[in-house]
Amino acid sequence: MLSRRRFLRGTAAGLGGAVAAGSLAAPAVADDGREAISWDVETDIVVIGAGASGLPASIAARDEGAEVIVVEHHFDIGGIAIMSGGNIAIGGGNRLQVAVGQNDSPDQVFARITRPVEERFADRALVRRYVDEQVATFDFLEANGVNFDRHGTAVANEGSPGVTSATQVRPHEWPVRVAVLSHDQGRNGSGIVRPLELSARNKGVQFLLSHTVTEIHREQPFAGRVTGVRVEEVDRWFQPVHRVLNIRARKGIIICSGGHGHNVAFRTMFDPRLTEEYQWHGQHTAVANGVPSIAAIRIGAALGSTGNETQDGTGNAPDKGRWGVQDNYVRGAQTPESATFFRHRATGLTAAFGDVLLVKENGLRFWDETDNSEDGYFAHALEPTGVPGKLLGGGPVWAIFDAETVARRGYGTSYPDVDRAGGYFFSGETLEELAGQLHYNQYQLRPMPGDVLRETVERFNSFVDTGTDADFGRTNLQHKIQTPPFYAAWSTPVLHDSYTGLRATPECQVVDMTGRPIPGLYVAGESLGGIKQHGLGRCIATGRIAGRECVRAS
Amino acid sequence: MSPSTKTVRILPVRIELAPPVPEIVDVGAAFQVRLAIEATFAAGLSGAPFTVREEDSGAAVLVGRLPEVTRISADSFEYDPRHGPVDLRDRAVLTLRAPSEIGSFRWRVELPEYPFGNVVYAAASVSLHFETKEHVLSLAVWDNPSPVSSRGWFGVKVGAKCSAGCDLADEPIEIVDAEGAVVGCGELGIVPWSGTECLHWTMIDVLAPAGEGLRRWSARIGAGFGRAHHGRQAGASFSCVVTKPPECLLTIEVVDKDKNAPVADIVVRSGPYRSVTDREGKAFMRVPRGTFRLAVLGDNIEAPSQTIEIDEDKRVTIAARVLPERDPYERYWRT
Ligand SMILES: Cc1cc2nc3c(=O)[nH]c(=O)nc-3n(C[C@H](O)[C@H](O)[C@H](O)COP(=O)(O)OP(=O)(O)OC[C@H]3O[C@@H](n4cnc5c(N)ncnc54)[C@H](O)[C@@H]3O)c2cc1C
Ligand SMILES: [Zn+2]
Repeated sequence: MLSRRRFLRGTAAGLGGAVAAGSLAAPAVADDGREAISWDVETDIVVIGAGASGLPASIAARDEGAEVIVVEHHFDIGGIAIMSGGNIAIGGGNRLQVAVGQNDSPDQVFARITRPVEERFADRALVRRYVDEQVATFDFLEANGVNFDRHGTAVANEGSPGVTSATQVRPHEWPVRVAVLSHDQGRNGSGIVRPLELSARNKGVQFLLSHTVTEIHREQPFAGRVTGVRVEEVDRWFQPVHRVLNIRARKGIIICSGGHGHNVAFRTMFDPRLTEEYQWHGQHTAVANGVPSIAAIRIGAALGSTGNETQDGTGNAPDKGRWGVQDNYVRGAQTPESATFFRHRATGLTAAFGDVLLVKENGLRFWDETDNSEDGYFAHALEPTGVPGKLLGGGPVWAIFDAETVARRGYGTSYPDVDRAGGYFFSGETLEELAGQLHYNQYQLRPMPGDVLRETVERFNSFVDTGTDADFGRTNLQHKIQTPPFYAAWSTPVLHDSYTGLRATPECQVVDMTGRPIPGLYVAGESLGGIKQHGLGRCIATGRIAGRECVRAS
Repeated sequence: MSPSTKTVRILPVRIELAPPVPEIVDVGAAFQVRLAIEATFAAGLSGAPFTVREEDSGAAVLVGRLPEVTRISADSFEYDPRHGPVDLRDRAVLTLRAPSEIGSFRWRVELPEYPFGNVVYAAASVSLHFETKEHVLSLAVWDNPSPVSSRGWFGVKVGAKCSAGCDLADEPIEIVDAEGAVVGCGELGIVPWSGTECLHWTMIDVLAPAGEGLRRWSARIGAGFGRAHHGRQAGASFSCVVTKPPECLLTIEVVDKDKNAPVADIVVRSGPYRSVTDREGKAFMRVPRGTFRLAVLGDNIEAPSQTIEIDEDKRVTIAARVLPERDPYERYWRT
């Protein structure tokens, strides 16, 4: 293990001077004789994760006078929030809404996100606290440098059936280009996380980047306060470099580590169909493997409102995704100028489902390509195809198209548009040749029979001739797929949002399996269960609540 | 210390096969083997001798020198430690030729001890087991129009490709109808189809049958094809709708009903006939007399389909609603 002095020398730049040598306590001695933890560093509050919830949590805790260290897995702050569009569902009658004449109130917001059917599993007590603090959260963001765009204030999805509507506000994009991860498509999330980072640093919050929390220490296995965290240093590929630290948290620990969608074991607790082939939005930017939540479960924490996770509706379900790239979330496109492009490897193509046919790993079509429904397209995409031993998950979905599609859509067919080297985009001079390559993709568990793919395409082409899709009733049949070369692009559904996380009180204090709050342990953002609403609003607001309440309770 | 007792530094070398590992290769064809190499300064092995031997008899199959040994790029998939080992990061790509008979083969790639400057790279080897198979031919058919007039000629392009990349120029191609009768033939050309490396192709004229409805043909390698080791019969089928010969000109004009402006580049369909609107929003089709269902296709356009009766040249205007460029992912709110 790393000595205290080496740690201080090694990370002095990252942690600044605030970790004074005098504040380092003697090694903790457990009174039940368990191996004592030797603390390498000590602070009041440890925040796990520097994204949409972690940054406000750290500032709120610091504003209450606490010393704060944020431990972040990635080599930069921002979480997946930095890739986001930055549209924040925070209403309730905030300054901007008043300025543009938008009528809103906490009660209206509450009514919108606790509907009897769509949000039936929402934890009303948590939601109430969340909506009551929305205006204050907006003010908090402005006070910490977030510069809102007056024209970004909108009501999204008003009246769309099945989709939660929300009032949204949006900041301007962060003006420093190198500090924006996703360029040229309105990824205004940078306008949230960069100002908050700046404010946090100015206020004395310290960031320990490229370190991941693997365990949460508690006085007793299932009792007493939480005392600190075990962290490991990781490299830019998120791999451990085998340096371990223990950080003591005198006043509390706040889990802000995002969702668990990239952890197959975790997500299949809720939906067993979500096997390994499904990628998770933002997986090459920030991890969402639920490790801190699992650490909390190991010391007694419970999960909350688990029904939210699998309920159809606002999009915890899979998304149809972009093409030809592994992390194929629709809004997650990255260009080579991004600092994390080396992990993404390609930008991907904007899908045009009306121009192609989609097949599964067996070379067969499975549904109307232009459909988007949960019980139609997605239910069938996720159905197994008969790969021996694979009884769950539908395997890869490939978009099959031809040279004319490429010309019509202006698609790039090589780096950096698509990821050929990784096995997410292929071409072939005939359909058989195309099919013969697909098993280079790690999730294509058996070769796709070339004659099956060819017959599928020929049959589809005859539907284009007659104007009738005799198999799946697709009406938009414009173009045959026939002109060589042929292409196959990864089009497998991609997952986003975790709607279940740790169970907590309205103050965001984690609750254990017996219903009792765990002293010192708090949670926010997508790590928190209970609020059925997509995205940034709940993450920022609960981050701020958790940061403040964690210090006040100590 | 006298010069004669000077110790030589031996650098250990490890080699493995990097993916894609050739397991089944085309008989008699060239194939590539990617060696993954782990050694201190592996680039020093560039130009080092290697021997490929039959594992059982020890007979040499090929003697040569390694091409340049290069480090895989840190931005590549192979480098990503989440997908593979973190050592073995240097590569040398060998081009070998498969034996010209069908069978299983056990070879070994050997790098003998190799002195380089004042060090010696230790000997290393890796086995290479593979089978040879017949070349696989596959076909593609494109540019076939639909619909076509009964008893009228139409042309299709047919291309063929050998999995081993053999030059198929001059090889025969046949078009066969649903009853198995050969209705067209041709020979593959010399220049591969644009955008391909070895898809040799030709244009073949086919006479449409009498009658109406969806008809299917298939293309296959012609009877005169006689190359060894190309056993598998390749085929591809294509279809089109056969109709009565056209008698009337149908002009369809698509108008944006909100802006009262023409809508260009929209696919319109009347029965089996398809056409695309031009800059003036007009699409033209020559159709026989009859009753057709007229529809506008596209992601961003909405117009009720209508039934039209045609007994002479006709102009039809479709008032369509053009929707704002639809976000293919609009299932969720703005994110
Ligand atoms: C492309 C994209 C667009 C989006 N657009 C919008 C939008 O416009 N509006 C909207 O409302 N929502 C949007 N979202 C969703 C929104 O960004 C997320 O809901 C939100 O960022 C989640 O916040 P969080 O704090 O829970 O997680 P994150 O912001 O991801 O932060 C979690 C952080 O924890 C770190 N971490 C994880 N595990 C550990 C560990 N063990 N130790 C240390 N650190 C760890 C991660 O690296 C990460 O930095 C978008 C998401 C994506 C991917
Ligand atoms: Zn051949």
